[in-house]
Amino acid sequence: MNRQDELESEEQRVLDAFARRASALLQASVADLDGATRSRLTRARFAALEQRARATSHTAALWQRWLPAGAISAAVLSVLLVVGQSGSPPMLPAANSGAADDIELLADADGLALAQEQDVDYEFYEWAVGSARDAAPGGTVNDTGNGSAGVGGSPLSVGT
Amino acid sequence: MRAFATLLLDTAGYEALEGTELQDTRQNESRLLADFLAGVERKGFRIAQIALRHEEDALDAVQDAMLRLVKGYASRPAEEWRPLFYRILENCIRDMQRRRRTRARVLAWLPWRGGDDEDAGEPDLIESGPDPAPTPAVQAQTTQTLQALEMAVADLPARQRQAFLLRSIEGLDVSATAQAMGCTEGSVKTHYFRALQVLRARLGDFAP
Repeated sequence: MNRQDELESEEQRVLDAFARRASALLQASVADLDGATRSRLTRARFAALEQRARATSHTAALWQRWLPAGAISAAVLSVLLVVGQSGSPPMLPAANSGAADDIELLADADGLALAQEQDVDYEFYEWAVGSARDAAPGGTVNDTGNGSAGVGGSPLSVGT
Repeated sequence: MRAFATLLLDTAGYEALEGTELQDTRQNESRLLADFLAGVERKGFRIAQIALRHEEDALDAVQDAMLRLVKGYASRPAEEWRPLFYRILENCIRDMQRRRRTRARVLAWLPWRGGDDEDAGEPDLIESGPDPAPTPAVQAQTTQTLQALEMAVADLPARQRQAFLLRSIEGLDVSATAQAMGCTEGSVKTHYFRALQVLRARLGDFAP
């Protein structure tokens, strides 16, 4: 250790000792504060905490006032939505029915085969229906309303 | 509908439970805050008193710092309160010093205010020193060395004074002092070291 380092470390020791004594003196002065000052500091602390308590209770009161109202409004709104949905016509009827028709068409294997068959004798079917209408009493197919039509229950059974 | 009603009841129960927990947390936080303020108020007051050399102003500064901390930072983690409090207190001290200087400048121009006013002009070392007629309790406790030290500390540049007082009175370490001062630990070391050098040189025989 050279002379310069020794001087620096000596100065540091002196300053450290000074700092310790100064700190002790100042901390003693904190501990020895007079009663009047302590009392005023306590009042200042209570004032600060009271302000916080007031602000907190104000916020809580707002919550207490508006939370039930909000909950009731939400409940009423939800009930209205549920009731309204069950009573109203189905949403998007056109789009839904179109899709349903397509699916029904695809699922009907006979219909699909009929549609794909090129040499279907449509005239025969028209003749058969016409014959059934003529054979019926009164000249028309008797629609009984129960799904069966004409004599024999089926128009195709008339001419065969 | 039954499921919906159950959900509503569950929600209400949860909110009630949450409300109770919230209340407990707030009470606990208030208790912690009260303890914290009780622990720092006297040290804060002495720091402000030495910096401002005025008891009333020091009390105002501490009260203001408490209010600001409680209002703006109570929800922060408790370990952050100490550096925050001293940072706020230092801002309050500077605000007061600035107000004093402005008031002194304005009053110096007024013809009916003589130069003998205590607020006029730059603070005089003797006049603005510790109260010449303090309460008996203070008089008994205040030694000549303490007075000399306080005056010398008050004359330090603001950053040196802040570093010295935070470390000497509050006992903050370098890291916490840096947080409170809003600077690096290296700056704190420099300010503190220079403060010690200046104080020792100024105090001479009155060195503690």
